[in-house]
Amino acid sequence: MIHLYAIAGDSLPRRDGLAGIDGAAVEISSVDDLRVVFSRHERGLHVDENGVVEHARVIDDLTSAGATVLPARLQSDYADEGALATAVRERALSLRNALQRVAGRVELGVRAAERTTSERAAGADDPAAYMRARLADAQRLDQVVAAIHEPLAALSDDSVRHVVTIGGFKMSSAYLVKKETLDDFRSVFDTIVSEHPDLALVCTGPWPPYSFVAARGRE
Amino acid sequence: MSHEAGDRILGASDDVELFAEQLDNLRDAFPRRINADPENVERGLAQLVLTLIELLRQLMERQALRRMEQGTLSEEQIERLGTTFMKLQERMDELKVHFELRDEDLNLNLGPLGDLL
Repeated sequence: MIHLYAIAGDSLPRRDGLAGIDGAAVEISSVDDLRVVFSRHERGLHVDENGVVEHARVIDDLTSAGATVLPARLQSDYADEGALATAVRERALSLRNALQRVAGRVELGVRAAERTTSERAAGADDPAAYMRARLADAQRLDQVVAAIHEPLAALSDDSVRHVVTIGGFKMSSAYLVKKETLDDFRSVFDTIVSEHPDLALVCTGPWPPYSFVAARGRE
Repeated sequence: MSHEAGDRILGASDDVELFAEQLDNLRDAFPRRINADPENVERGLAQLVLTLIELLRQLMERQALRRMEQGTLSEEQIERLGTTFMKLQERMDELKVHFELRDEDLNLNLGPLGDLL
C-alpha cells in the first residue's frame, strides 16, 4: 500500500532520511514531470491523531525546504506505485495548473467566534417579532462576516470561508497569499481584531496550501 | 525544519480559548473504538436525526428570511412562518435536553467539504 503525502513539480529538493506515518521512510519518485512524495505500508492505514500530525509534518518539511507542493488528502492511499502513477497522469494537467497557482504562496487561516452566544430571537411570544429579530440577526452576521473576510480576501489570490451559526457564530476561512504580502495581511488582521472587541479572532499560518489544491473560482 | 504550533499564530485577540474547545471537538472526530452500548447507539442515532432536522430547519429559515428581505411575504405569512419556526425550535430544544446534546453536537464534519451546518 502506498500513502501519498504530496505532489510537487520537478524542482523538488532531495529530502533524505525523512520519516512519515508509523516511521515509514518517505520516498520521492517521478511521474513524468511531476514528483510524488509517498511512503510504503504493508496494509491499509488507519490514520489516527498521530497519523494526522505525521502526514502534516512531511508536508511541512517539504515546504520548509522551499518546495512548492500540493498536499494530498489524508486518506490518499494507492495499491502500488503503478496505481499512483496512473492517478497522477489522469489529473496531470490540473495538478500542473494547481502547482502554478500556489507557487510562491502560502495559506493563512482565520477563525472568528462570538465570545458569547447571541441571544435567541427576541419577542418569544410574538411570531412576527420573532421572524423580524431572526432577520435582523442574520443581517448583522452577514455584516460581521463581510467586515472580516472582504479586506483579507482583497489581499489574497484565492479564499474560502465557512460560516456556522448554530450554537453561536463561528467563521473559519483560508486565504492563499503571496509570501511577500504576509506583513500586510497581518497588519489588516490586527486592525480587524481592534475593530471587533466582541469577537475572538485568531490568524494562523503560514501553512501549505491545503485548501487550494483543487481548482475553484474565487469567492 | 518543522514549526511548533505556537509559531503558527500570526495574530489573535486576547481570548482564544473558544478555539481550543473546537480542537477538543475535532479530537472526538477520531473514533478510538466501536461503542456498542445500546444507550450510546440510541443517542448517536438521535444526534444524526436531529442534525438532519436542524439542517432542514436552517435551510427553510434562510429561505423565509430571504423572502422577508425581498418583501414577498405578507404579514400573515410571516406570522405563520414565525409560529412554525418557534414551535420547531422549542421542540428541538426539548429533544436536545432529552438526549443531552449541545448545539455543537448537531453538526457533521464532512472532511474536505467542511462542516454540514
